[in-house]
Amino acid sequence: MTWAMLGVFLLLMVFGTPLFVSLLAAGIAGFVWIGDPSMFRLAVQQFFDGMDVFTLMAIPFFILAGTLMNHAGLTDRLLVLCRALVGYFRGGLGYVNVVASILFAGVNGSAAADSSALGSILIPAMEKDGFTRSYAAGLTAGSSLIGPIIPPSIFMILYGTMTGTSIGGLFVAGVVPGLVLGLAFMTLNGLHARRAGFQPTGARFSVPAVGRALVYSIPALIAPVIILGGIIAGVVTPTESGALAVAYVVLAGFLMTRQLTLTALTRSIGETARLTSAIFLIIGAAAVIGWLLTFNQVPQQFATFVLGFAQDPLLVLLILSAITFVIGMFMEEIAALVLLTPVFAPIATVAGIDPFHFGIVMTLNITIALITPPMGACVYIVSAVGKVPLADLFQSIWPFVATAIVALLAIIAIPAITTSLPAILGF
Amino acid sequence: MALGLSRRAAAWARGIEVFSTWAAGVCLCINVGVVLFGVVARYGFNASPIWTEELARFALIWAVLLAGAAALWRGEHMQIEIVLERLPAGAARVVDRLRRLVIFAVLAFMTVMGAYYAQKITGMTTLALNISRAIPTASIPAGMGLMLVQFLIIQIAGAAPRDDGRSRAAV
Repeated sequence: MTWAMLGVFLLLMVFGTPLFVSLLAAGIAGFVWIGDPSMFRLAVQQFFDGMDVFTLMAIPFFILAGTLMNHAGLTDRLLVLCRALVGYFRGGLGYVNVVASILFAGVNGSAAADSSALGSILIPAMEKDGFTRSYAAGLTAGSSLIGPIIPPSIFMILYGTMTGTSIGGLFVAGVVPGLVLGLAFMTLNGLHARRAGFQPTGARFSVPAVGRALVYSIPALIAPVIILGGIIAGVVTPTESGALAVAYVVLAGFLMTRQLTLTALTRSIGETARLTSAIFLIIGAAAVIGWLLTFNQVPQQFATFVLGFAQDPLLVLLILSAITFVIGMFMEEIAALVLLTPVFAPIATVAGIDPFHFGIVMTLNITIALITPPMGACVYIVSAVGKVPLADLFQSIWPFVATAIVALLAIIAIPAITTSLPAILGF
Repeated sequence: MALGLSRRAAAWARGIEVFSTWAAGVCLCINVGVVLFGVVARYGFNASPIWTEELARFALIWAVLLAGAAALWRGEHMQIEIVLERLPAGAARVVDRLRRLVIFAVLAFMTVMGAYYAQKITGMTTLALNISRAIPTASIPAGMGLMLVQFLIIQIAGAAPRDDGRSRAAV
């Protein structure tokens, strides 16, 4: 039955059927296979229960907060700060791109939002500064991967909800790996700037200029403080921090920057509702498949198979990581995460892998798939906003994929990168 | 004649899109508002009303199901079209028809089974709000039914125009 379901799902998926329909069709096929019509209503029940989870509500909140950041003019203020901090380096706008992704990631949990918001501003600016358009687009797509690693993160909310791992703990665990990823992309940019013969800008680091930029960007920097600060202090849950972030960005947009309009607000709410629908229908449909897989004891069978030839935690982590990476390349990321997590997480637990470490590694694998051919969603977005032919971009993306993989391997090999901060903060 | 029918269908599809976006938007606002109210009540009035979490969850599920029809018209449901685009024209046509048939069948199944399930649990009540469990569950037949109607209209209207003016692959 499992193979039949997988076959139905893959066939429908590759032929362009909406993913939630492909998953539901596979689930319905599974229930038909069981042969008991009285169980059909379980498909509806599981679909509903899969979405009926309080922690998942943080997803639309962070999407809305990120969208409103752009309309409220807060993203522009972050860019001013980034220019003051690192814009004076050789190849400065490349660093600005990466640092902007780090700061933007503090509010937005999605790489897609990062690449579309920053790409439209930074790709033309980088080209004007002497970068090739395909490099600028590649770096924008690559650095957008920081978005789902530095909290908040839609992927972590999903992972935490499915495994019962503390979402606040996962958020905290993602901070250092996100910075490692940022450092890796900045190193790549430094090497590129030297090889491409960029000359030093002549400008110098200026404390007064940074101070002015810092004051100017305070309205934007408060948002991540509300999100992470509230969770770390134990004052609010991740879901509540998302709602507070929305309220803050709306107030900041109307009262502080005065750039948010009622039209932009209503449009953002509509866009968020549609995107949330697209995500949640997949989550609900995947819950139907998840129930059938558990019914067929697939997680237990797969665990026995993997642990039969590998008990070392590092080896198990590498195997699961490689499988996730390859599947992520060919499947939509949210679908891949919600299908693989219930099967893989029990194996990680039995192998003695720290749940935060495994969560971050899963998230990072799924995130890197956002820039790998043939399905990398961020590459498609950057290609559209940066007006770079898709074929050129897929050819030039490999150094950025390789950089992300190096960072991933470092995070796999050194668990302390992930586990230290949650331990210090008592998660 | 055919063009007139197609235009009328497109107008209907846009109408459903506007309705479903606004209805989902209202549900989303309720969702955000109720979660914020829960925080204010906890710290401002030292009270933790248990109904806020339940209402927020149900509002979001209604938002998700209602917005599905708008996302369908705008081609915003996640799907992969690379393989279909590369098939020979004849094979692509056959696959495309089969795919549409599956979409119709799945939406119809969820609408009918959703209505059956909601009707079955009418007598059960939720823990905090103490309302019939059919109220949140009815979002499935309502949302899937709306998507089914939208899907059928799209078959007549063709694909929605994209914001950049290019044509969009029809569902």
